[in-house]
Amino acid sequence: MEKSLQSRPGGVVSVTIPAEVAFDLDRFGQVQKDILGKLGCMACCSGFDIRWDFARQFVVDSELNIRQPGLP
Amino acid sequence: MRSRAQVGIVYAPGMATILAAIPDAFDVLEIEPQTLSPALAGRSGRAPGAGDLAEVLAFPHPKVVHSVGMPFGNRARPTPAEVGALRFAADAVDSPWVSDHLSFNGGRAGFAGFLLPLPQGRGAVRHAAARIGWLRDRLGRDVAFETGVNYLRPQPGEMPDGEFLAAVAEAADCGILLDLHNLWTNERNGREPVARVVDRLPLDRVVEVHLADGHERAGYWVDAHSGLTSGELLDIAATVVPRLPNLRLITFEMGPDYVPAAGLGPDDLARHLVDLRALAAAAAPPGPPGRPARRGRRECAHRRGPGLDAWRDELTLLVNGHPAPAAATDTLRADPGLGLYRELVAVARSGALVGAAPLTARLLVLLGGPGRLESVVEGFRAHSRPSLLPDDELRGLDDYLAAHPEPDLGVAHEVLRYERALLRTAADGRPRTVTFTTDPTALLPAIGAGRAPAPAEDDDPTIYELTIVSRPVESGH
Repeated sequence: MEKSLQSRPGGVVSVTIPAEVAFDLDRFGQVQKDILGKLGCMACCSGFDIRWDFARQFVVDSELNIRQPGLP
Repeated sequence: MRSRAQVGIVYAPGMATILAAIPDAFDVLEIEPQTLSPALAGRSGRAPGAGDLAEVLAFPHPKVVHSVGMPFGNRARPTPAEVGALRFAADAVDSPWVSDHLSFNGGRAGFAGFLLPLPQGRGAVRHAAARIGWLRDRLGRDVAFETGVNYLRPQPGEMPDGEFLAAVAEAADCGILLDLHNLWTNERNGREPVARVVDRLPLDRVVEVHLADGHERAGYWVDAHSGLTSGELLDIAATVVPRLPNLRLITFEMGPDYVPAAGLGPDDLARHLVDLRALAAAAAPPGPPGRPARRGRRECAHRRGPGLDAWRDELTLLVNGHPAPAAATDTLRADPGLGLYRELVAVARSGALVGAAPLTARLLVLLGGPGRLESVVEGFRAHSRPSLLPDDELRGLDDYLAAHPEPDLGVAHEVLRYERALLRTAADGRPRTVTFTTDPTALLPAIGAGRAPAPAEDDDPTIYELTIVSRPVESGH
C-alpha cells in the first residue's frame, strides 16, 4: 500500500492513496475490484438488478470470506 | 465479419476475466460503450479516448456496438457529445452496424430510470423512424433497432407488437436486432406470441438475434439476463433463424453478476456458445454481402395511437411512484405491470448505488442490518428523481444524507464521499481529498472484510485527510 501518513499540527493526519492502488488493495477487500466498471450507464437489461440483493444479503463466513446468495 | 452468421457475446464490465478464459468460444464481442465510462456516454466533459475502450480492445475479436444510451423513442435528440462518443466507439472498432432500443427512457418528465415501451401508434412509428435516420446520418453507419420488452398489457387502439415493429423498420428503412428473449418475455406475460410477431416482420431486415434468460418475479417473467438460454427458447430460435437471410450475428447476453450466482463458470458459457454455433449454422443462406437490401422508406398509414409526449410523461411518473397524472388513461393507470415497473426502477436505482458505493452499502448493513440499508436508500429515492449515471445518483445520496443527518450515519457519509471521490478521480485523473473522523486505513479494510468498524472515541479530535491521486486519463480528441 503506497501511502504516506503525516501528522500535522492540530491533530490532522494526511493519507495519500493512488486510486489505481486503492482499487486493487486486498485489504480493502475484493468488493471494489470491479468498481471502475460501474462508472457508466446501466446495461441493456430489462430485469432485476441482482446487485441490490447482493448488497442486502452478503454473508461473512468464519474465514472472513464474503459469500453472496444465490439467484432470487 | 464473414457473411454467414457468427456467434457473439455481450461484454459488460466484470466479464473480462470470464471471457479471457474462453477466447475461442465466440467470434464477436458486442460492446455497450456507455456502460464502459462516462466519457463514452458523452457525459464526462471530455472526449473519449482509446483508454476508455482499452478493456474491450484487449480482445482481438471483431466488435459490434450496441448503444444503451439513446433509445429511439426518447423525446430529446442525443447531444452532440453523446453522438460524438458513440461515433468514436463505432469508428474505433469499425462496427458493421450500430443498434439501440425501440423504447424510451426520457421525456418532458425527465429521465425515467428504465427502458420503457412506446405507445404503439402512428406517432411513435414516425418519431422512431425519424430518430433512426437522424442517427444513421450522423454515424455514417447502418443502424438497427432492438425489439424491446413491454410489461404492460396491450393498450386500447394500439398496433399489435409485430405490426408496430414492422412499421418502424419499413418507415426507417433500417435493420432489426431481433431480441428473441424480449419477445418471449412479452409472450409469457400475455402479449403477442413470438411466432405471430415474427410472421409480421420483414425478416430480411434482421441482422442480429439476441438470446438470454430471465426469471420469474411478482408473477411476471423478467428479462434479467440471468442464465443460459433455455431449451424452450432455443427451440423457438431454431424455427426462426433459418428464416433470416441476412442474419449476421447471434449474440448471447448474461450479466456478469449472475454468472457466479447461477453457479456457472467460463466452461459452462463456452459449452452454451457451442450450441449457439450450431444454431447459427442453420441460418438461411446468406443474402447479398454487406448489408440488407434497402427498399426505401415507406409512409406509415396506421391508425393513430396515444399521444407520444403524454404517454412518456405519464409512464415516467407512474413507474417512479408519483401520483397518476389526470390525463393518464384508466387502462394505463390500472395496468398491473406498473407495479413490476416500479419495483424494477427502484431496484435499478438501488443497484446502481450499491454497485458504485459498495463499501457504503456494506457499512450500512453492518451498522443496522439489511433494513438499515433499505431505509436509507428508500428514503433517498423518495426524495429524488433517477439519474442516468451512477455518479449522479451518488451525488444525490450525498446531498440527501447532508440534508437528513442521523447520528449513526456520520461514518457512512464519510465512506460515501470517499467512494464518490474514488470514482471521480478514476474518471478524470484529478486528485481529491476527503476527510474522516476515524482512521481510514483501518476503517476501509474492515468494511471490505465485512467487519463492523470499532466505534470512534468521542474525545478523539483527530481528523484524517485522505487524498486520492491518479495518473492522467488519456483523451482522444
